[in-house]
Amino acid sequence: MTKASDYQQWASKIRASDQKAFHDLFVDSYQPLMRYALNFVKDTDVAKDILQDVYAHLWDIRDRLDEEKSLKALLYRMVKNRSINLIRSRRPVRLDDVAPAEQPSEEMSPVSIRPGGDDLLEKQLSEWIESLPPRQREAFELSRFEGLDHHEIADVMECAPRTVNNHIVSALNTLRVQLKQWKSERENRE
Amino acid sequence: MKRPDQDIMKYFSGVEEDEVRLIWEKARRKDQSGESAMDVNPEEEWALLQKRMQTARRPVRGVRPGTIRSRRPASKATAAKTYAFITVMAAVLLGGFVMWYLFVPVSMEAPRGEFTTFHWDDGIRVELNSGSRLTWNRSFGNGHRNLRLEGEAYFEVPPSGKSFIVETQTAMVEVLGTRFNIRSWADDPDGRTTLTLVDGSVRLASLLEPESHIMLQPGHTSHVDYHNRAPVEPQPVNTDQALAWRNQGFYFSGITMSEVAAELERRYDSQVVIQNEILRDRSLTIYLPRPGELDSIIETICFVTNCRFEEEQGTIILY
Repeated sequence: MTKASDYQQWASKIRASDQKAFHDLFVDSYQPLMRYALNFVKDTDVAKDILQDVYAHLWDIRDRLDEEKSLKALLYRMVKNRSINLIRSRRPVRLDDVAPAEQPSEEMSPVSIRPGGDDLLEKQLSEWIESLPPRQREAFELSRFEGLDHHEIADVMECAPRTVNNHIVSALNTLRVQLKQWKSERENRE
Repeated sequence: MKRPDQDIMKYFSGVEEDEVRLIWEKARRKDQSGESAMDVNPEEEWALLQKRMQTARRPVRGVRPGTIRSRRPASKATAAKTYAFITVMAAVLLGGFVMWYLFVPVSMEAPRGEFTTFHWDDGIRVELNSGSRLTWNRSFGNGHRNLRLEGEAYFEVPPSGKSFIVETQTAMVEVLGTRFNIRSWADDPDGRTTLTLVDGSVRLASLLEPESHIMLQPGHTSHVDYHNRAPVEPQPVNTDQALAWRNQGFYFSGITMSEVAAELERRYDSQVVIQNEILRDRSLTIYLPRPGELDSIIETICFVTNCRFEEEQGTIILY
């Protein structure tokens, strides 16, 4: 995982119109941001367009980059805002737009042939995470999956770092309770 | 991240700590969409981006300041040659300096919490709203007339003047004798540029699609942004409301609370945080010709949107 300091070094070079630093940042951050965008839009081509917009805009505003602020958080925030805007501007959504994206969750195929304890736990956890309150889930996922620190998450979610802390602690507490229940149910069965 | 942040772990102890570690380790993304992210080749996308940025960059106008020629005596003597060489060098350096002087951009800004007014000799007058910046070249008066605006500004241009162009993040506004307002905040998620014409005539063109442009009638407004690349159908507007900021007033017309907060932050150079997600996306229409202190505006807004607020170390928190 790329270090936060790399991002800040890129930021100051990009500020000075350094094309190479821009390229390095692009190549390094592209796939994580792509995956993040796909959380919102579910369509690779749409996500590609969003990312093109984000990087082009970043280059446009390079002279206004604030070196004190996290560039990584800025990228995530731009991807999030553009994705949400796009979703909002497309409403009402045509049904045939949505159908393919929802299929995977409806299928719910058995995850593996031999559901060993760990695989099962992973699957359970994914479901529990999905049913967390939206803000808690967002904070947790940005921390766990995107590797953002609390200040960066606060930037993306536009709230105070303390609030991020609270969200993640609450999320973990909810998950712990579910984990405990799940474990005792399994033990009773055995 | 391999393990939870230290700040998080201190909330848990003993068995809880182990459970949290387990949860952290076993947590997986649910959807398979992550997989398709890996199919995209960043280098291919980089090539596309380069192409796009090339076409977006418009050709430089063929404007050059008076060409500087050195007067060189056609002498045969070596000393004279040296002298000529020095003259040429000096001319080149001087020329370079003049070019630099003419083309290094100058900018004027209204810091957060302040307004700025500026006059040019040819009668053009500009008022900048808090947190806005206008950039131009020093050769502005001599023909090369391109201004770049980040934020919001009101322009008054005497009818006799030559035309010039104001460029924003998404739009190009061509100006004849006129009075008008441009609003184009960098933090607007859509990159929207809104043009409001008081009188005279202006042409609004999209930066992304320069061929789509419209002429605006006095008392009308139109905008372009990332979604509306061609300027939208002009609408009649109350110009007093649209220009409320010139008298320190506010006119929010169906914009989201997060945009309202950004505007208040710039005007009052303070922090306004919205903690409630639904509230952040709520749209607000309100006209405050004489708003007064920030506290009283927040009170009014909270009354209208039925929210609450508290102040914490100079930051206003809405929830």
